[in-house]
Amino acid sequence: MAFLVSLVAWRVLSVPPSGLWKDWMVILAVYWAVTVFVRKSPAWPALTASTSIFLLIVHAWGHLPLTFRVLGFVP
Amino acid sequence: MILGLLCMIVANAAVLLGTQAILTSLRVAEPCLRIVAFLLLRLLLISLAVLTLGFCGFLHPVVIGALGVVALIVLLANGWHRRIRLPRLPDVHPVLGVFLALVLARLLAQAWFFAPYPGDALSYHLPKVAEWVRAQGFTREMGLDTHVAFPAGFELIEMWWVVFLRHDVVIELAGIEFLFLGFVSVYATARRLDLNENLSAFAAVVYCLTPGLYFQATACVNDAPVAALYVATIALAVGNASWATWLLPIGLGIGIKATYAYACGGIVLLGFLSRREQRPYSTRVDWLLSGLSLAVGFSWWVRNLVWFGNPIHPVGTRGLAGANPIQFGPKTDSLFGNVGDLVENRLYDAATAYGPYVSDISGWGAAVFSCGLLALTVALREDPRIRRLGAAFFVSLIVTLALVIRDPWSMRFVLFFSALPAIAMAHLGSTSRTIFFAGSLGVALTFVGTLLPKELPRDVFHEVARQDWRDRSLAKLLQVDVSSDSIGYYVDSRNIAYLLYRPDFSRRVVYLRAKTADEFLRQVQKEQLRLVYAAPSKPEQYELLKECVARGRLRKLQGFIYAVE
Repeated sequence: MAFLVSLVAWRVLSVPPSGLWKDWMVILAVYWAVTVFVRKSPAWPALTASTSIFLLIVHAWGHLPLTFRVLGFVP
Repeated sequence: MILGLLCMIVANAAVLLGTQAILTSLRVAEPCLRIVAFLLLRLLLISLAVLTLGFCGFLHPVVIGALGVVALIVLLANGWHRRIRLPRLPDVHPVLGVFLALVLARLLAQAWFFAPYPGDALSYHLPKVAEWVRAQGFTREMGLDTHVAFPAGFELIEMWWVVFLRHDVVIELAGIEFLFLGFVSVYATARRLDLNENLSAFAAVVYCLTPGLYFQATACVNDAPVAALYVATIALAVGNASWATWLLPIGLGIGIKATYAYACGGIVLLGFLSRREQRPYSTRVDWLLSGLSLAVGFSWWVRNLVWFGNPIHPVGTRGLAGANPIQFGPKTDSLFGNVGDLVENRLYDAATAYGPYVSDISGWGAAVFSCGLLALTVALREDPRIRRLGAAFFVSLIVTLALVIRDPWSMRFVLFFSALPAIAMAHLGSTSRTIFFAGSLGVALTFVGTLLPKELPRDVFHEVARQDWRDRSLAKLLQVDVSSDSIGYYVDSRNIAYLLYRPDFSRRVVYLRAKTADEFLRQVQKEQLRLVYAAPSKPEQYELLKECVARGRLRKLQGFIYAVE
C-alpha cells in the first residue's frame, strides 16, 4: 500500500492536475488499492470491467483519430 | 514460374516431412509444445539449407527442388508419411474461431497486397536477398547502408520464400511464419498456466494483434521474429523442455538480431528460478540440433570476424556514430530515457498511427493498454507462476531498454513484452465473462487499428494494391520505376536500394563507392550504366555529383534518377 501511495503522490506531483484523470498509472494504482478491499465482492468484475473500459476510452481518445486518418475516414 | 512453383511445393513438402521425422527424436511431450518445437525445427532446417546452398553458390530453385525430391523419396521410402499426426485444433468458442479465421485471412491478404515498404527493409535487409537471388549464392556485395553486415538470419527465411518464384510477391510469408510461432508459443505458455484452450487462444490472438508486432510480420523487418523467438524460448522454459531444447530458439534468435541476446537476461533468470524443476534430460539429438541452431546463429558473427576482423562490425566499443547510431553496452541514460518515454507517453499510442517502427509509441495496442496492464496487476498478485514469468519479462524489458539507444523507435525491440499482459488478460478473463467482454472491446479496437500501417495509408495502399502482382512495388509511387535493366546506386546510407531491383529481381544494381568524379565516371563507364540513382547527403558526395552534372556527363531525369551522357 505504501508503494501505491508513493506512486500516486509522484504522479500528482509530476502530472498537471488536468491530466491526472487519464493518467494510466493513477488509474491502475487506484484500481489496485480498491481491489485489495473488494476482491471477494460480487461487484469486483463490474469494477474491473468498468476500469478496463475507461482505460480503453483514454487510449481510443488519443489513438483512434490517427487510425481514422490512415484509413481515410478523416482528412 | 510453373517450374519454380513445383520446386517450391516439393521443397516445402520435404522440409515439413523432414521436420516431422526429426521431431520424433526430440523429447518434448506436450502437444502444443510439440508444435512450437516443430515450427522451430522447420525454421532451423530452412536456415541450414539456405545457408549451406548460399555459401556453395547453389541457391537455385531447380537445385533446391531436386534436393527436395531426393529428401522426399528417402522420407517416403522410410514410411515417415504414415507417422504424421496432425495436431487437434483447440476447442474455442465459435465467435473466437471466426475471429481467428478473419485475422488469418486478413493477414494473408495483406501479405499479397502489400509490397515491401519500410526503410530498413528497402535499404539493408532486402538488398542482400536481391543480391543473393541474382547471384544464386551469397555475395560480398551487400549494399551501401551502414547496417548491411548485421546478422541475416531472418533474410534466410525470406530467401526461402523468394528463391523459387524469383519474385517477392509472397516474401511477407517469412514474417507471418514467425507471427504464427508467436501465436503458438503464447498459446502453449497459457495452457501451461492452466488456462483452458479458449482462453489460451484468446491470449495468443491478443498477442499477435499487438500492432507493432502484427505490422512487422508483413513488413520484412526482423523485430517481430526476434519477439516470436523470445516467446518461443519462454514457452519451452515454462513447458519443462530439456535444457538443450532451449538453445533451439536461442541460436536462431542470435542469428537474427543482437536484441534477442539483450533479452536473454530474463530467460536466464527464468532458468535459474526453475532450476529445481524436473526436466527430461537432454539427449544427443537435442544437443546436436541445438548445436546446429547455434552454428546457424553465430555464422554471421563469425563471417564478420573473418571479413572485417570484428564480429559486431560496424559497431565498435564506442558504438556506431552517424545518421543511424547504435549504442554499445548498457547506459543508464538510455534505460531511464526509454522507460520514461514508455510509461509517460508511448503506452498511450497517441503520437502516431501504428506501423512496424512504432515511432514514438509503444505499439502494444488498445487491448494491452486497457485490459492487459490492469489484468497484470491482479495476476502478479495472485499467481506465483505468473510472478515468475513476469520477473523474466521485466528483466528482459529493462535490460533491452538499457542496451538500446533512446530514439523514437526503441520500443520495437521489446515487442515480446505484450505477451505477458496478453496472458494476464486471459487469466483475468477466466474469472468473469464481464471482464472477458471488456477485454474483447480492446481486441476489436486493435483489430481496426491493424488494418493499414501508417506508411501505407488508404490512398497509397490503393495505388500499390491495384498494380499487377508481377510489378507490385513502391517504385512507381517514388518515381524510381525506370526502363533500364541496370542502374547505378550512389547513396551514403539509408535509402531505397531494394526497389531498384524490381520485384522479379531482373534489374542489376551497381553500388557506386567512388570518392572523386573521375573515379565515379570511370566506374559508370566500366559497368556500362545508362542510369544512376543518386541521393547523397554528405557534402563531398553532393559536390561530386554536381561536378559530374557540370561536366555534362550526368543529366537529371526525374527525382533522384540521372541519365549518363
